[in-house]
Amino acid sequence: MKKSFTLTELLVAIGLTSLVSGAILGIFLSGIWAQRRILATQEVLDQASYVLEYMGRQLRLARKDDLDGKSCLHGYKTNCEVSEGGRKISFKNFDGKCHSFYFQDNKIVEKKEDFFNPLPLTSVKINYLKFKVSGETQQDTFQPRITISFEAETKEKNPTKLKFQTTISQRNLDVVY
Amino acid sequence: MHRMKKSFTLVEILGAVSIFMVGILTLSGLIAYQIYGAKTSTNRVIAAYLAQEGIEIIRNIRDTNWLKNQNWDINIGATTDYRLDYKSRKFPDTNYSSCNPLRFDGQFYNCSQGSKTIFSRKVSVSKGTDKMEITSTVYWKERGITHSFSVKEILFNWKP
Repeated sequence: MKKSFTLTELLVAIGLTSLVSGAILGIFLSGIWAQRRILATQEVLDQASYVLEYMGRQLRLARKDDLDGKSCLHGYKTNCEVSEGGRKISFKNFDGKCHSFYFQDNKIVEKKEDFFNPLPLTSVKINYLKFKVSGETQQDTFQPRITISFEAETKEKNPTKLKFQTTISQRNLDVVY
Repeated sequence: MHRMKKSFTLVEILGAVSIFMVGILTLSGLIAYQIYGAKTSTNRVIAAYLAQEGIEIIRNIRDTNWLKNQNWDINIGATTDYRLDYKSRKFPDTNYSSCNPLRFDGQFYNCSQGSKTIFSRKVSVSKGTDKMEITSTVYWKERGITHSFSVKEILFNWKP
């Protein structure tokens, strides 16, 4: 007689197959989920380090205002100026151009005097951007110091929020002119 | 002799299942490690900028000393301490009783206000003649393991 599968054998076989494929599918899915998370995190890290390095370089090399007869800031012979409740910093860059960084529409944007429009530096969501400066005038006998702090979040359903901060000391000595 | 139809023995099934399980566990371990690695790399970037802040503040104190025409290394103690934040004008900053871990006040990482963060920053200064070596190390804990990120800078008294 030609042997056929019994019902029990069939059930066991189906059960085992679905168990195995379920496990494999689970691993595959969690792999995809993990990859998505890592890419989202990577995007935030890339942009955060770019924006901190770029702003850091510009702020380190900032020039004192008014020395070349051109005025970018309200104060006389100041190094930089914070406005909009700490959300904006303006300064004269190494090139002698008026330059500013500020917070707008959940982005960090920059504006230079020869830009027609402000240029966003980030595309991930920024929750806040704060600048704190001290020693920015030349009479205070302190070397200018700028603290940058911001929070960025990942593009996910449950976003991870990351708080970055660094402090920059201006490279040109703030001697009195 | 009858040719009996062979079936799997229990041992064979156990062997197959255990090999399968080893594979599954390895894969899931790999994925867990991936997620953990992503988290660590995030904290490393934050720590790197906090460590940089430590160096920049010491440098800022040196430059301020020059502007004030005082000894270039005054207000910078040749010691190891946690007490230094973005407002500090001296190291160690005796305005604070401690700074381990760093706190976050809603806007800035600092020594005195707000909730405790997972980060702490240890700054070491050692001095030579017209030269000082600064090491800024940020520590943080993740799943019970302490990680660290360290940067080193040598400052000179180059100003005549």
